[in-house]
Amino acid sequence: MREGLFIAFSLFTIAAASGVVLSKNPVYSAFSLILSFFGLSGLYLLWGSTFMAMIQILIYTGAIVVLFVFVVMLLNLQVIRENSPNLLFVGVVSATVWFFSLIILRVLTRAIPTNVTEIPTNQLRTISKLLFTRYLWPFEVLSLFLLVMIVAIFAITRAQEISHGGEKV
Amino acid sequence: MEWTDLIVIAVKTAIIYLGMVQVVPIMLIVERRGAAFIQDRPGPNRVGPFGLFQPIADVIKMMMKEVISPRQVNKALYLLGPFLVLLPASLIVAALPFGDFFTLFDKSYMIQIANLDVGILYVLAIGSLGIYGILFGGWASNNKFSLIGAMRATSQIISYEIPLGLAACGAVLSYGSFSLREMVMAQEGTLLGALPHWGIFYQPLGFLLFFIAAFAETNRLPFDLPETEAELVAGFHTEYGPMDFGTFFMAEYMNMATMSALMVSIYFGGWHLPWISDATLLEGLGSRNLLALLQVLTVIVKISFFMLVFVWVRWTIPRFRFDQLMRLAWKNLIPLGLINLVITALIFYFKGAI
Amino acid sequence: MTAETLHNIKLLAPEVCLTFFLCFLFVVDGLFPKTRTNKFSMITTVVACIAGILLTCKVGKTPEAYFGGLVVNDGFTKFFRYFFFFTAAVSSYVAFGSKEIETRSRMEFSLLLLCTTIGMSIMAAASNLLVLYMGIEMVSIISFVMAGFKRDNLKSNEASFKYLVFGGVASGFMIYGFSLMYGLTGSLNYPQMAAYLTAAQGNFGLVFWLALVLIYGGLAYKISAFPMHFWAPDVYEGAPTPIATFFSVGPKAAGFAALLRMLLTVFAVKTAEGNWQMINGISLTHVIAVISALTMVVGNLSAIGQTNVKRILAYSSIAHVGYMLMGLVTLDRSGLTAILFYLIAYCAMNLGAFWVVGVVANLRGREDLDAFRGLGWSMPVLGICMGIFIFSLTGIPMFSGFIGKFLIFGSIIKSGGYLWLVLLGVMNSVVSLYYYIKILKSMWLDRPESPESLKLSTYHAVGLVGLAIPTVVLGLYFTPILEFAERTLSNLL
Repeated sequence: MREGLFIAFSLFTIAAASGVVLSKNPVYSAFSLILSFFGLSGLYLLWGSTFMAMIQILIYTGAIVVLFVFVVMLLNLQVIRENSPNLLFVGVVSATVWFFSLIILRVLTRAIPTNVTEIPTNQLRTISKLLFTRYLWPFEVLSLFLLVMIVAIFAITRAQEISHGGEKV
Repeated sequence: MEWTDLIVIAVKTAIIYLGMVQVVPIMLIVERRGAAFIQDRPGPNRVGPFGLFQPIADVIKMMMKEVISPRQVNKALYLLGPFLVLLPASLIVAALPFGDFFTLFDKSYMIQIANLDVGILYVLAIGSLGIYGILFGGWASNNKFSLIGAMRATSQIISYEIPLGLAACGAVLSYGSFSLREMVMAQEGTLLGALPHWGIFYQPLGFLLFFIAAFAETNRLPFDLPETEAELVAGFHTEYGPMDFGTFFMAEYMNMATMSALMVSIYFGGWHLPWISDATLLEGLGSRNLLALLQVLTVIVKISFFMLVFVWVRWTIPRFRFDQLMRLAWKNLIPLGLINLVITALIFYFKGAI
Repeated sequence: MTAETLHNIKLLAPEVCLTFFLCFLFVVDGLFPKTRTNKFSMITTVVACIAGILLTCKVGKTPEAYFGGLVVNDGFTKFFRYFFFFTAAVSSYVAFGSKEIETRSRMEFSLLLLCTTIGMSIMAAASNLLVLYMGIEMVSIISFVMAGFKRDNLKSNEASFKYLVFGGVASGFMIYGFSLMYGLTGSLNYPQMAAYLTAAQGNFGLVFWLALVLIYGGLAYKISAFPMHFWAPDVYEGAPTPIATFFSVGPKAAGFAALLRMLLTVFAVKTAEGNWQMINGISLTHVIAVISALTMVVGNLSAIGQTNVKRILAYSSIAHVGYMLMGLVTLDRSGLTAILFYLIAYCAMNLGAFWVVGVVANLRGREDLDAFRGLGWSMPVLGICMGIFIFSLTGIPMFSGFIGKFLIFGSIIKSGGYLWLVLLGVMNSVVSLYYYIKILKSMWLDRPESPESLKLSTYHAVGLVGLAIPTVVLGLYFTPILEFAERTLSNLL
């Protein structure tokens, strides 16, 4: 039953991801992205990590894709009208080649080392403990990085200065 | 999991969900009568005794009106819009606790569709999905007013999600758990002998933030700029027909109900009566199921109180302008939320969780 | 806070110091609006870098891995901290004298530069794939924004966008490789990965090679080696010149630091004589030699037809990466010391060359060869400094570039094999002379378009001379730096 669910979720995710790439309308791509994140979240649930599943939906679907959709809608991107069959062909061929090379290189069929830690029952506590002891340094640096990113975005998107001797922005 | 279990769970789910859906017709009449009462006029009183059958009339009107299908809309997303709005509103109901448990055929079942151990995280996650219906509906309408309304609604919702989440963080810190059921179970009995042991006394600032953010999340006045009648025609649901309008309406009321239920569960004791603990009630009533009924009634009364507060505020306070709204969220509520988090963390570091 | 955490934070003192200065700039920016446009942020940046350098001297004498093995503090980290702080200070100085960075964006530029420096230090100190990825992304993402700093300029937007797309794809490859490597070895920390690989005795699955290729893809993008060098010319050309100055030295050296640390800690073991040897089963010498050769050749040959000086310098920096990669062919002390020395020499001469291009761009508004006409006679200091930098870049004796090349070629000859690589290197140096000399010819042998008297401001003159002097001195008296590099290597954890 778990394997069946795993296959179902995986196929759903892959189908949604192909929808992102193949659809001509950017808004449809964003919608397929949401669906693929739901599929991923389902895979996390199958593994027993409820925390990660919820965080995936909360952050990815709830914030990041909203940003994408905002940009797409505000830019009013036109539907890609040209029919570029050769690009699609190249895409499909390279994806197939990649897939088969993964099988040949036995990436997909290799036995994963079994020293995987059990998912603890109290994931919140474990994750927060790890985050504040072992991974404290990356955690703090990332928060600094996010702050500087806000500055960076401000630097490139600030409104143009009105050049009639007005107050400098 | 025997098949009797499955049947009971299915029936329980249906009852809880459909019960929440009943909020919509009740609110249809309560809102209009409440508005009338505040505005010192009669309100709808034709359709039944005290106008109580007004919702039936409304629904019949919605179903019978001519559905205009605009030609220039993006068909797929246009049809998907209302569905996407209703879906999160319905899904949140799954995590809300309505009572402790009842016994049937010698087995006890929780009066809650799913006791998730990441309850409040689930609520926040699904709540953040509510944006997409508005966004896609507004964009697909191929109408500038709809798009502006949709953008405004979206930025409002994502801005106010943060104070909502911060208030929820404070609550999680105090109770030590994400699960809504455990939060309610921790609110039993009395605090210092005189007050009920409710979350609001532990997290007053958190409750204030949650309350304000709940208004913004559900697009209710004073935050209803996305659907102002005077400014944007009808906001993001301009191009929609009557039944779709009904769906958006339904989703808004269900969101209100779920927000109220959340406030009740986190801050107002959930299914507990104010000073009395469950044990004394059980002794008094004798039967587990009677106790369960009392608990459900308590929850319903509390949720109704909050719904009345929603209606009351709507017809009392003028609406915010968009930049005032944004400023409130980012410059006032988020710092308050962070301060709340720090104070809560300090207090509970020294005293331990509830 | 436990004593261990306190000790860990003390070891991080240079980065913490930079963070404090960053926050200080934030506060000052909010309280005193005038500091947004005057030179205050540059002075703060330079002070921060000097403080960082001083702290690096005092911090931790013994090499150790701290924060649970996530980060390493050893001689290698020290070396690169000095390098990055110096580069950041010089880049800040350059930027504030250039018209390409608008005055009203000066504060943001300083903030971004400080954060990039912190990111580069993290890249050099990382001993864990997660921390390495974090450092790389910190540097890359801020670089994307810095490349597009001239918002109205189409070329700048194009540069930023190309950098973003290319960087995003390369990061994707890299993290895919990281995840495969994690699945294979069961750990993200370098020592544990090395232990697994040694224990496997050459018996890795084919997954390992795929992971190696993908990780190389990501790191090669950072150092602009073949085949991930395509972004460099467009990005360097489009980005504002002070930022291109910074790009050509800072992130590249950071990428090298990351590459070296990963190579030497995970895929190689230290032998008794102090050299390194690849783990049994991995033999990458041929591959490295071929990549190095291809990078050199691609860089040099593509530069021949260019007329935009920034593109010439971009391709030349690609070629220099090729020379530096030669030192990795034989992982012995002399080769690795040569790489470190070359990095120091490259820092001075490349910063200087780009600086001169920036001054000319400010003056003439264009960056192609014609903009340089006759500048040697109008501004002699500029001309002489540019001459020094160009000769050093080519590898003409008596300049530090020559010593660098000499050391690298020498290490390969000493090891006995790959003589074809050395020959190729020498031929490439000769070829590079052609396009470097075009710049000098334009400066000294062409008449200026309009006879004008120009004066190089003292601001720039001081800096250029300050960079030119080490370039010359290191060409003659390089022993102390060489010994410093050797000590760094012996101190590698």
